[in-house]
Amino acid sequence: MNTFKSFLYLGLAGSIFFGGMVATGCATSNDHAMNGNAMANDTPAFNDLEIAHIAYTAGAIDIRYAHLALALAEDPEVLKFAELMVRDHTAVNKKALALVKKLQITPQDNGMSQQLLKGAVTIRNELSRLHGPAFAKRYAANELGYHKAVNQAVEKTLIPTAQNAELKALLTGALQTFKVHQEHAVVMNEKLQ
Amino acid sequence: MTSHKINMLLIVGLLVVGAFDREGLAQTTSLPQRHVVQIDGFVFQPPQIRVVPGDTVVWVNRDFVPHFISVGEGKWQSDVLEENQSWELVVNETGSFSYVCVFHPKMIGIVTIHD
Repeated sequence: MNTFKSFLYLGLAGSIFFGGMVATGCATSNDHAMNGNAMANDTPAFNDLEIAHIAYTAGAIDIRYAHLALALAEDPEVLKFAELMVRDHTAVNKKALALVKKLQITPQDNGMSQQLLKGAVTIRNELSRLHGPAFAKRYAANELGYHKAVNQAVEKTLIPTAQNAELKALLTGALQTFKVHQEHAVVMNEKLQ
Repeated sequence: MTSHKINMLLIVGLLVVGAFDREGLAQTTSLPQRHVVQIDGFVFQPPQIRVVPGDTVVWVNRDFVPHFISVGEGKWQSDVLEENQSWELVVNETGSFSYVCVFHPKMIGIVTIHD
């Protein structure tokens, strides 16, 4: 999978990485549509302002998934995980905002951030139609897929591409956090099986 | 020798004896120690510590994200520790206690309190 595709797939948050979990035809059609875009933009070059925007957006999306879970989930494991996502991603994004302020820069919206947000709408719409164990399983699978995809993108593209040393350090610290979340998501999925 | 000089010598002598007494005391009775555990990269460093009753253990959070320490299955609990915040625990009993971050349960450490 090339880098750009990897980013595009973030928006579908696990549906593609976990084929067994693909539940909607919408995800599949999006996949085809985005593959077309990927071919047209095979080697995107993100600047630091775009990287900052993408990283912040990815965190904000997961916070919104978590709020949905806190509103709809009943499973204690899911609720605990959602609380963790709100707490940790808020902390990381707060750190990112502090860096943005320090550097006196304005993160730059970009096609990737837009794709992430668009994909997240699809996932939230799907999740909001589910209840009980069905919601718990879908949320858990999505969190695992989302963190796998985000971690891959942060590790393989955002960190190597970032030019500013402080931004690179922030992303490195964030990746450490997200990898812990991924491990936690594995355990949550196992418990829900 | 004048009485003034004699008095001065006595004072100096008393101070010297006092200093030796304090030194002797320090050798026989250890003062409480502070032990610092850094929380960095989702690990406790060092992961195991040995202390004596009366010592203080200080956990310092160096991560971006908050941590929440529970020692001995809830026997002692910190507040939520934001980045660069710390928690101090004065231990006054013996035993070996494992502790975790409640938020990130894979983070585990052990504090052993011995006589």
